[in-house]
Amino acid sequence: MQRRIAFLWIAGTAILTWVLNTSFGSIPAIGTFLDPINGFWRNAETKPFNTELTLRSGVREPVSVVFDSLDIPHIFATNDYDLYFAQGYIVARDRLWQMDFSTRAAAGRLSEILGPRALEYDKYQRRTGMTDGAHTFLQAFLTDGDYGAAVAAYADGVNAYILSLKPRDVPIEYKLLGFEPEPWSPLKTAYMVMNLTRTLSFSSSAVSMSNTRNLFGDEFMDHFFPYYPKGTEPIIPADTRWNFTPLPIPSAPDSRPMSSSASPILPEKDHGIGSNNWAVHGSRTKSGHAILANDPHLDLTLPSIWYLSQLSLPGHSAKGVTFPGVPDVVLGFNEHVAWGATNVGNSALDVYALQLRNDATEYLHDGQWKPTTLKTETIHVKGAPDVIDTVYYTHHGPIVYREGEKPYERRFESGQAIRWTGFTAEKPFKTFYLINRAKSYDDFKAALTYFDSPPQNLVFADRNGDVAIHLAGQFPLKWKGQGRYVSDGSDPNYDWAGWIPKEHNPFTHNPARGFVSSANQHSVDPNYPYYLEWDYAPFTRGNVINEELSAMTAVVPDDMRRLQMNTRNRYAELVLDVLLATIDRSQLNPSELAGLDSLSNWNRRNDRDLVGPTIFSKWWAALHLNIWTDVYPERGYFKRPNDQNTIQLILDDSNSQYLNGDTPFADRVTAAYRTSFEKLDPETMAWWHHLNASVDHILGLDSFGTGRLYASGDKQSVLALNGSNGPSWRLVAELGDSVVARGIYPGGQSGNPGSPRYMNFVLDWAEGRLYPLPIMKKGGSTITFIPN
Amino acid sequence: MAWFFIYIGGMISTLLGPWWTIVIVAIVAGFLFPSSARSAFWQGMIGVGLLWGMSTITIYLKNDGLLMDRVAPIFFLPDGWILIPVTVLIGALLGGLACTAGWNLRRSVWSPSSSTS
Repeated sequence: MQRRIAFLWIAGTAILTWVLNTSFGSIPAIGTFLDPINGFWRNAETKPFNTELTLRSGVREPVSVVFDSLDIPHIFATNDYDLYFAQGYIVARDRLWQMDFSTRAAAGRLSEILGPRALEYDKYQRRTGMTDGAHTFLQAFLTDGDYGAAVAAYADGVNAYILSLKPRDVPIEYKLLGFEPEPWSPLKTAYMVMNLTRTLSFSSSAVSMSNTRNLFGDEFMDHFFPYYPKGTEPIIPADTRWNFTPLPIPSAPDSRPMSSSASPILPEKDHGIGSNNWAVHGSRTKSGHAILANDPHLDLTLPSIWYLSQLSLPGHSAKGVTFPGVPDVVLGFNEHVAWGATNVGNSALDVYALQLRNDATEYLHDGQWKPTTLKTETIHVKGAPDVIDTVYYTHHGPIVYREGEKPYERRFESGQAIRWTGFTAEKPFKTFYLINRAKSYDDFKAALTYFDSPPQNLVFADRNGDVAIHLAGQFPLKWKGQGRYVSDGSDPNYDWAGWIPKEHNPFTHNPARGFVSSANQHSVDPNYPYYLEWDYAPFTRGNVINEELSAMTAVVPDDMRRLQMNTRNRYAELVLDVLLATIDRSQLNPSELAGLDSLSNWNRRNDRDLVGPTIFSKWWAALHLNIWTDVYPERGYFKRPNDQNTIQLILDDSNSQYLNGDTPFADRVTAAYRTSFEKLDPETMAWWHHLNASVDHILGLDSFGTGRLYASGDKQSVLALNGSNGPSWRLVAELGDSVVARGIYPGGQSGNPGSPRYMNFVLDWAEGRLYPLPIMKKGGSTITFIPN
Repeated sequence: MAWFFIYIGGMISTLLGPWWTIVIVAIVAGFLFPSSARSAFWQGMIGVGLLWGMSTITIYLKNDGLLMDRVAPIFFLPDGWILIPVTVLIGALLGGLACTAGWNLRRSVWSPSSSTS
């Protein structure tokens, strides 16, 4: 009897222990998670993190790392291997989970962690050729002496850190999701680069454009989706002369394919991947030295995509932001030069409609049936058997979805292949390895020869007074309009005929106007001999930046900081007066009239406390919807003219049939005002409530994010903040006898939500403050690496 | 004395191994230290509860509750400090259960008369 009782007690204890040690669905194992010695409690930072420490490790010579008050590591090494070893180790110490998780996501391996719910995402990653692309990168890394060695040393450093970890020391997200760090490798760096390349350049509107042309014809398309919109100020000034003999341009085919889609209409997603950069020549600055500014806009996340570091070798030091997982400073400055990037706003991807037969094992091209190449992808799934997926490749690129498959991303339909510059990129980040070491404009230009993807407008300034912007990247040689719509995959005229030679890429160096600038708008005016796509960002930010810079004299660095925080609403400047003159006031009640008065008095800036931006943006959105809902069918996947081109239509011709149709324009304006104003709550009318700016955790856990920030801006302002997308890094650098730089990013150096350093930069960032970022000289050491 | 054995033993075992080694320590404590069933349960609760309580309170205070305030909403708890009683309660219940199980094991090996003191 007693034995049975004892057994029951032991069994009960064992069962409860088992339950507490087991994860159910997305709920972590409670006992494991709550154990104060090994569980999440362990992740609470209870003492200063960057304290003096000596680490015996795989370095060749001693390396010292000094942390400043912002917890920025300044790494002093005597050779490349040690520098990148230490960089890998130190970044992993703050950001391991982010690096590991992002690369697994890029590789389509989330099912290993999250189970079957991530399967479609994983398939999509592999179907869109991420595996192949990353291996192309890897091959290029491995065969490049210096850069390959840097990537390998970095991996050694990350792995040395991982090996030093006890299970209780892993970041909290591992404990929440129930997985463990895996060893780092150059392939993971390749996935990291691939991931970034995809974020910046993997998009296409070819399907919706084709459907729209199908409905309305070429005249409508050319009018509302112009190749070169009125009012555009290109990045490379319009008067630039091209000192080269262009390659012959391939000829356009006679017939163009059409495509249609049954996908239900969804709001056009505005990715808002935009950025600003500029550099002012010494002739316009107070000090006589060049000043450079950059603020790349990305999805703002915690942990941040950026990690501030200084990397020093005898003879040179580079400082700025790095990508966790990738060696070198990506955006920043050294003792001689400063540089920054904005995304080239056009498309680097073409969509091909295919004729397939025999279960997609053959496709028609140039009158012949050619075989597709099959590559097998094995997806491990947590708690379920492996899934084997086959990716079919044509010479264009992978077929994303085959007949009868349900697209995960609506921009690809069944039977379409994609060609993307990201697939053939090799070692774009070698460019940053070289720029970190650049001493002059010539060094910078030499570094650009390695850059292929994602296409960037790289801004440059140096202590010799040079300022320049270069379109960096490899651009396909195309006929005008090629890839604008879905391409005919069987017609060789739609193949990419080659590449624009990199030495023909557009650039401007010390232009007459005394500054260079870019904000993702059109790269060049139509006089540039090659076709460089059409679908760029609206001209709003670019025009405001140029206008402000042109008006400035005796520029000081703080002028640049203020310009980064400029909230002018270009659309309101252009169209609000017209709307105010058009609206029928006799239909408005007293509170609507009061709203209109505040709009008349509004200074046209998207400042956080104002109600003007709220009323205007809602009014404009309602009017835009009202206009095009009458023109477009209720269902279907189409592209609507954007704000800029709609405003142009109103300014050019308010009697246009598109504006009037069944309802006169004035009635639309009035109705749009009334319906949008009615929805506004007087308590929360200040703009910041609607801007809804926040920095969110990568997993979307609300409590790991910032919540709504008290911030100004708008997607079309220079201060391009919009929801959780916005300036991911700000730099202002003056290049005098020494480089004086200031910068900030919305996050914190630590990736640990249990650290006071997790989001400690965010409020200063929202207020537009910049931190001094001096290049530190060697002296003292917080963490010292010594050879084994 | 069982509670003290669990407190010290559990600290060492979970520093060296996974969290559930504290369950084994509590079973062993119940087995080694003669008492009544009720006393074994309380000693188990106090041993684990005290260890986990001291640890969580110390961490909470030193971290200003920063991490707990961010973790609590994931488990639908309104405030970070509530994770302290939740953690302690789960640990203590398991400790009490395990210690009593150890005590019963001892009874099944030795006669009931020799197991009281």
